[in-house]
Amino acid sequence: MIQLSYLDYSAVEGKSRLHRLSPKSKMVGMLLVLFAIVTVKSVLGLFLLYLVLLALFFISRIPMKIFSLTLYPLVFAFLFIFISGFQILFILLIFLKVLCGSTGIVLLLATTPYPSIFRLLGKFLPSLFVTALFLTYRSVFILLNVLEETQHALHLRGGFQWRHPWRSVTNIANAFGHLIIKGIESSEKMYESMVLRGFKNKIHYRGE
Amino acid sequence: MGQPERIVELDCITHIYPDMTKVQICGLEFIVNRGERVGILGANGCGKTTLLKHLMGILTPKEGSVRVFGVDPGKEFSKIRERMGVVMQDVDEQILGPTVYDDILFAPLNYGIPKTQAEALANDVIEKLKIEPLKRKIVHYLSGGEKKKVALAGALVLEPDLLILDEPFTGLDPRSKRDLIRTLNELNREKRITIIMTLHEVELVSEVTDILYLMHGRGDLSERGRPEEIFGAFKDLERFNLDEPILTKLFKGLKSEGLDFGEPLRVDDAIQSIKKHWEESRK
Repeated sequence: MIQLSYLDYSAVEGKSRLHRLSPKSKMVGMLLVLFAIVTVKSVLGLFLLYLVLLALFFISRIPMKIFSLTLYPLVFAFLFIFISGFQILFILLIFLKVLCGSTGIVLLLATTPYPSIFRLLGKFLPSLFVTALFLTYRSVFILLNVLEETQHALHLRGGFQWRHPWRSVTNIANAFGHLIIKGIESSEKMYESMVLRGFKNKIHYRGE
Repeated sequence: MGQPERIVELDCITHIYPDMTKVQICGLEFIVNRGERVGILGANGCGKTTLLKHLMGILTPKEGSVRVFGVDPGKEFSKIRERMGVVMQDVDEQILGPTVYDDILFAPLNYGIPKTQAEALANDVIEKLKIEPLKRKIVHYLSGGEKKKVALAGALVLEPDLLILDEPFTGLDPRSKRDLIRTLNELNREKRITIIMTLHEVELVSEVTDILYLMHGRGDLSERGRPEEIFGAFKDLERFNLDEPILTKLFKGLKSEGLDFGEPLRVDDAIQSIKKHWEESRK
């Protein structure tokens, strides 16, 4: 949660060259990175790409607290260790592909304010889809708060107890249901607010 | 003197929510004239927010009529939305920008106002609400009170003719309440902004409203009057889950003991009243 807010802070307040670059150029760069991830098959090539991305990360003076966000997707990459039959080169290749992808995305999000990204996406994606993405992004923060409160409530009211695993699982399932309903409700209310504040199927942002 | 300009007219509307809860806002006609500060008091769940949502065009009545600036907001909201500023009960869902400054700029930029002009408007409202220290902050980590101020700034940035506030004082500390009352009254006085708000704080009513509506049940608009009329003469506040303001209780008590100082609702008025009676008694 805290790292996510640093992401926003870095995107808005950062002053590096990468921050100042137009969102369009950064999006094109990101697409090139994705293309390289899909096509490059050599470990060395991907390693070099990762080094370039890391260099950009540090040159852009993005807060270090965000760096851990680039490592989370490795959790899923670990599954490939078993699938690969423990072949070191294959594992390295997968890990590098994952790291390049996540570092590229974090770089984009940490240097470009999210309304700019959504506005750019709106140029070639249906506005309904882009609006849904925008609402989802903002909702994540609201939902994380609700999740935290629900966790506390479950804990404080005895909703989660190791002695009663079945009851606990039922309570957790109910809490998730609550979270989903809250999410839908939040999105509806946010959309209403957007309309009340002048939104007409297109998001405008000062950084354009 | 000419007829006052009507901003809002709402006449006996019915709304049915998806869970089939029926809210019928009836009884008195809800009328708001230009420049008035109108408060709506009533128990939780009596339909105050439903009423406001109809004015904002978020809900459309099944029966009855709503007119805001002469148009039906449910059908022609786009014609009037620039003239309306709204602060909802849960401001979290109203804040849309990554930073406070971006959020305040959301409406001007989306209404197509040029960037430099939009920034001037945003800076004006930031200065007016004294929220300069918050300007660069990321919105997710503001406190509840700070979010409320930011939402208010977002609603005021386009200098609307009508400001709709759903429980604006909830969650604010006493100092922030004072500041908000001062700001709202200044806006009303200087720009003649019409204000409609729901609230529970009976102590604040006389400071922020000229006209008060009382609601009970599920949408029954049963009383309309000036705050002093409502609290002074009206005997049945419990029906609305309301208490008398502490000053009203005190001065009614004094009256029953033979000390009639009137029934002031504000501390300043109470001081003046006591002073006047004291000076008269010394002559």
